[in-house]
Amino acid sequence: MSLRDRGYKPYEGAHTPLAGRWTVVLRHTLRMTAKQAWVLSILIISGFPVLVWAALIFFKAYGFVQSTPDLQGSEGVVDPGQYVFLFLAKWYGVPLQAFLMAMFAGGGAIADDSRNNAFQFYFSRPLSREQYLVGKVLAVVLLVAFVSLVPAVLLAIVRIALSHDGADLTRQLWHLPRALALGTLEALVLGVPVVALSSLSKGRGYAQAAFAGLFLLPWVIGDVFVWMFRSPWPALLSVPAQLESVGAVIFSYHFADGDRPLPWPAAVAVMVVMVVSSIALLRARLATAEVVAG
Amino acid sequence: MANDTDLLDLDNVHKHYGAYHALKGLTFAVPGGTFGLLGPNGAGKSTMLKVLLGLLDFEGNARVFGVDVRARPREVRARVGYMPEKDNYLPGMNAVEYCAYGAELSGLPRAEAMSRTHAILEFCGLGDKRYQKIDGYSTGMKQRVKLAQALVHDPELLLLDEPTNGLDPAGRDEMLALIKALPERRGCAILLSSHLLPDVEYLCERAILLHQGEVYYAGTIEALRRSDGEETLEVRVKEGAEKLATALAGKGCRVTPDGAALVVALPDGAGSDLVFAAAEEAKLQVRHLAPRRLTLEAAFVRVVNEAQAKKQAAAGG
Repeated sequence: MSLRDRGYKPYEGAHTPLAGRWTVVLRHTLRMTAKQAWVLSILIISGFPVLVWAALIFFKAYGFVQSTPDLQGSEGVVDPGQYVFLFLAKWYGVPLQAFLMAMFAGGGAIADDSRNNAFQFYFSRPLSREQYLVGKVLAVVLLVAFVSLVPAVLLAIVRIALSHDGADLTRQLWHLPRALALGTLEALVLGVPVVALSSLSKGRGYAQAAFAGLFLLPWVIGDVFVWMFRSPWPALLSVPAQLESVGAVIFSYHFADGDRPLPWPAAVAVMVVMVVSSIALLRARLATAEVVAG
Repeated sequence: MANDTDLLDLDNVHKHYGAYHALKGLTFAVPGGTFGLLGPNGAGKSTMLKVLLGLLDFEGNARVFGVDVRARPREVRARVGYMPEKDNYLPGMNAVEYCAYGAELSGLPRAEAMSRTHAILEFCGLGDKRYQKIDGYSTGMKQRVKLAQALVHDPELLLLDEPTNGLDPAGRDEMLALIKALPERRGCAILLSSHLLPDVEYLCERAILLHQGEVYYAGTIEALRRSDGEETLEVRVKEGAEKLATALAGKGCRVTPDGAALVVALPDGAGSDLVFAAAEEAKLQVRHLAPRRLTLEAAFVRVVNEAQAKKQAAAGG
């Protein structure tokens, strides 16, 4: 026996359960994606706005900031707890960095594997296509959540910690599940479609460009048309407009008189269609993935 | 006749892609060992590999290690290692990350996956390069890391698709030596799919010859290389081969000239002493006498031609 074989014994121990193999894909995808320069930069940079918003909530809660025009609802000065909503849904909050994270983390999720024939590596093993899909999608969704949901939850905790009394505490506690709900929604509507776009090409650049177009154009053009036509409907395909509309319902936020938010049922419908059709597209694309090259 | 201990057992396996009939009733059994899968492009080799990995719907029955591929494909894949023809490494990963990932996907616990990864990379000769990014590997090193990822979870059957593809002669020899040692050192059976017949000849005891979706031959390479499926001898004399041919024919041998040599099929029960007796009668001196073996390539061509001639005759008649 060669020196290199010394100590070799066939593996005779137990194998991990088949049903949990998606966690292996998730863990490795998270690790490899988080190593990418752009993703790492966004993760680091996303910490700074949270500090600013936390400071804003602190000063607001103690009355140092009486009113800020942008942060004012129709019923007067916004409660600092509502800043969590503004952070998650407004352009000056987290949507842009969540979009950037989705684009850089998700653009190559499937495209890189497709370009490198990695389906052979995955599917010649006891891993189903659904498990692969869950691992890949969840990794991107978690990274988006890391820059949107996690800071929002931290801000909600900051506000809860600054409660004046028991009644205020009871009221502010609701911001935690609200932040979780809107943050999860945001991570899903940004994370799932970008992975679906990634499955359409072997080049991550194409997927990223397509995602940027689909996210930014309806947002910018939608806002311009909303202002021009004084109707909310041109913003129907704008993800930030949808998040703002649904988030306002979740946080019981009252818009200022001049605002024209999308009707929330329409926003929910478009988000559901986006996520469901993305999953259907992913499943269809993976069903035809070649494992043994002919 | 297949039995329960066969490594592979295919029974009337058909596969259609729309109107295209890719596999036409494959029926054969392989007991184990190292065997080659031969056939030109479009013969159905890739489709057969997909069937064996449980990646395709098909008609008929296929069992690997006695496990029904259709009913329990993931169980089969857990016990098989696949080294594809094309590079399939994941960008940004080094060999350790890549192989450990593969081992975990195949079901090894994390610590065990890491420990076996280091062992297999040593075995494949990548020990000192294991923390280098695979993107920067040479072709030979990439082939080795592909082999390592296929072996890391201790498969019982290794499917190798063109393992020496793109290697220079020295790299090819090293890879072949590594593969040749696997059954003894790792205890796995090997199915080698290759266009390179010398590779198959060097590594394999058995061969399955596929052509146009049909099995034209399944058996030992030794038997395949016999000139027409029976034991024959190649005989050379200094001069007067025609006289010897006549003498041998008189003793009941079937003689076919092949250049300066005679290919002699002896009658049942006869030995090579019959050739010497015929040479003595013809007053000739035998200069060369050896069992007749075709090259694998010639045997391949012969089997395909014979099978096609039979099909044409059947179609004509």
